[in-house]
Amino acid sequence: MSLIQPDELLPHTRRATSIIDELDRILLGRTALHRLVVIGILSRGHILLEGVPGLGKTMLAKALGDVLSLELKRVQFTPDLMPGDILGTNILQESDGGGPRRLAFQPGPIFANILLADEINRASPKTQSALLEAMQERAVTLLGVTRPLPDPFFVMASQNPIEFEGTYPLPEAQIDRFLFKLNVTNVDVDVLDDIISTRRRGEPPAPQSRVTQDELRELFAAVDRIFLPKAVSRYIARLVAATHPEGPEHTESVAKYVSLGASPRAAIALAEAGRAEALLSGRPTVGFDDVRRVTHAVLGHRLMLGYRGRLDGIGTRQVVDDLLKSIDETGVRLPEDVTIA
Amino acid sequence: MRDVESAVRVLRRRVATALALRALLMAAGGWFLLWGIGALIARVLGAPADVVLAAGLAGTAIVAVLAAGRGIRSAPGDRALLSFLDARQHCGGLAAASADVPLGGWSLPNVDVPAIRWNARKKLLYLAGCAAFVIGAMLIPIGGASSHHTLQLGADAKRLEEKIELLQEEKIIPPERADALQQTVEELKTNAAGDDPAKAWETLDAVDDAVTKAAGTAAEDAIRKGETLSQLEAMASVAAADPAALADLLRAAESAAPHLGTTDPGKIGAAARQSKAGLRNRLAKLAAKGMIDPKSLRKFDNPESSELARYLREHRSGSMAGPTGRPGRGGVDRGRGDAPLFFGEETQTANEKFKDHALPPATAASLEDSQLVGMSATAPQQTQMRASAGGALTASGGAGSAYTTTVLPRHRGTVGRFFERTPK
Repeated sequence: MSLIQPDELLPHTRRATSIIDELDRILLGRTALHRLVVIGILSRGHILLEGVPGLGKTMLAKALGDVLSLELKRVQFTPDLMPGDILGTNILQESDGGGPRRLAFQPGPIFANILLADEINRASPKTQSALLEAMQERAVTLLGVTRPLPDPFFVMASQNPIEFEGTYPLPEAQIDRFLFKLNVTNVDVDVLDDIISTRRRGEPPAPQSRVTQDELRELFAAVDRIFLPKAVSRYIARLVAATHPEGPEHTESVAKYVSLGASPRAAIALAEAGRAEALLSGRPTVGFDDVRRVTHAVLGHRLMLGYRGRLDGIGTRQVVDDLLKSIDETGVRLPEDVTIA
Repeated sequence: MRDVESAVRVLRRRVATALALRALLMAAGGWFLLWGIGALIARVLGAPADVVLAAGLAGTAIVAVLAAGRGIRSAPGDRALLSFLDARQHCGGLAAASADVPLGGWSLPNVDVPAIRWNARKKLLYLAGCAAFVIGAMLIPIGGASSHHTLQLGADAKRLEEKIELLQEEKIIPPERADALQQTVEELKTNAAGDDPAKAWETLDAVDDAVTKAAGTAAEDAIRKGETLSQLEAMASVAAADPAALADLLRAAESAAPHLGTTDPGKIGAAARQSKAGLRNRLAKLAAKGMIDPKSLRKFDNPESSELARYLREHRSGSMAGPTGRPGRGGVDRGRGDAPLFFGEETQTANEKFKDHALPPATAASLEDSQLVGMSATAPQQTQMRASAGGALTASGGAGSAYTTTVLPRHRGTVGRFFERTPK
């Protein structure tokens, strides 16, 4: 095995960076968020956006679909939404020419490249669970017939962190299927000023450049060629193992606040997101810094805190910060009184 | 700035050095503790200090080599240090990947070799404490322990040697015996160890006892011989005046000094005096060395036979009759059984006075004062009474008897058998 060479990597890095630039141009003041979203897309993962209404979550999804030339369908999740409303259903159809009627499959909105599940936590657990197979297997099984979803397929879901009345918190199994959970926060005054001064009625500009689906597949292939060194993969494994209270290198905050640690899927997500981050940085290998940059987005929604965390006002961000500080990346074990400066 | 490969080598050398020194300090501290304890034990057991010191230093060298080797072996490997440099110098995984795959067109950046920081204060204090313990263990005086010092027997041994020489000069002991004793004393002077002084002193005492015993035996012989010579001298003086005693003198001279070779009483007496003087000189030397009791010398000078000589001189013309005028040599407690007993006058006791002593009155009432108050043919009825606190059982006589007495428990069986026996 050999590393992807610089002349091979550079065009892909430029292309991936151009996606971020285009998103930055469409949505102002969200560069870090856009980078993480692109990393999530390049990692072929699903993304959960959390933020109060009006912050541009839906617009981000639409812009992403537009820039990536992907088909995007939006579903507003409500309590009475049924699985069939998302997955599709078989309907009885008259055949032309007076022939026998037959059941024809009517695909639901999930048959798109990007499914924007708006306010996903307002749907019932039954409907939420309908997404499980689609998110993991990228296929839909209905009446015993499995139908593959378009490639690529992403779920971009949004949920409102307030107004919890009448909502159904996502089960752990589904939360775990999201590669990233990204918090969409308010922008500062300058950005707001730019928005209202350059966007009439808030309408975003049309993208100046788009990435074709073939180019996107090439990007995926390039990400696959990013090398994960053994030392870095070991670091990822130790990091994920340390999220468990019974783990060998768990921190004090993990032991105190975490009731359920991250799954192996989190380790896979860290590795994949690290690869995408390395590609965006123009490097052929995943570095320790790449892993650290995506750790919050990967682990933040996967750690289940106990009641003590709520009592002490501790969130997963503090716990992950603690982990990143305490776990040495390289695992070089030296006596306490000997340190490498 | 260095290339990554050389930076890893330098970093590994630095880490290994620090770890080796650290292991060395810890192991040396532990070894010093063991050495100190071992030194204390060895010194108490009497091992020479130089041996303990040499063993400790040799152990220190071995422990140092082993500890340094262990410290170097515990240093992280090149791959781990490569990853460390990658993480610290933000190489983006390239340095870490260089251990796994060829980099191809990618080149590793130059990196700084980080310094090693070692907070050795606690370890140094620990080592200093342990070293102080070893020094203390080597230098502290230990009571009762003499590290193989020779026991100083000089004065006593010299005195003993002089005694042995004297015995040899006086021919009291044979030369072989004298040489053996001298050799024993010499060995004691050379080999007597301070760790077991009792053994040396016991040996010295045994030699001294042997010497003293030989001297005592020689003194007794000299005294005995001196008495014989005194008798011979006395008989010679008698024989010089009374030729009738010459035969007795010659017999005695033949017995006491068989090689005298003369019948002249004067020469015999002179020879006896000369021999006696030689014996006295010997005894004087022995007494001067403290080998015999000075009383022995006085005993030699005043033998019991001097009385005989005085008697013989006073009664030189008489027979050998005793004070009673009859043959015999005995007195009241020895002598011949047919010797008559002589008694003096009877003892007069007429005027002797004796002191009167009044005897105490008898405790039992006189039978003359007793009075018969009644008689009974049957056994008196006994009333069972509880034993008193003192253990005596009080029983009162029955059947109209007015006489009551106390029957002790140990007498109850006897009293019961007396009164309950069936008449024949």
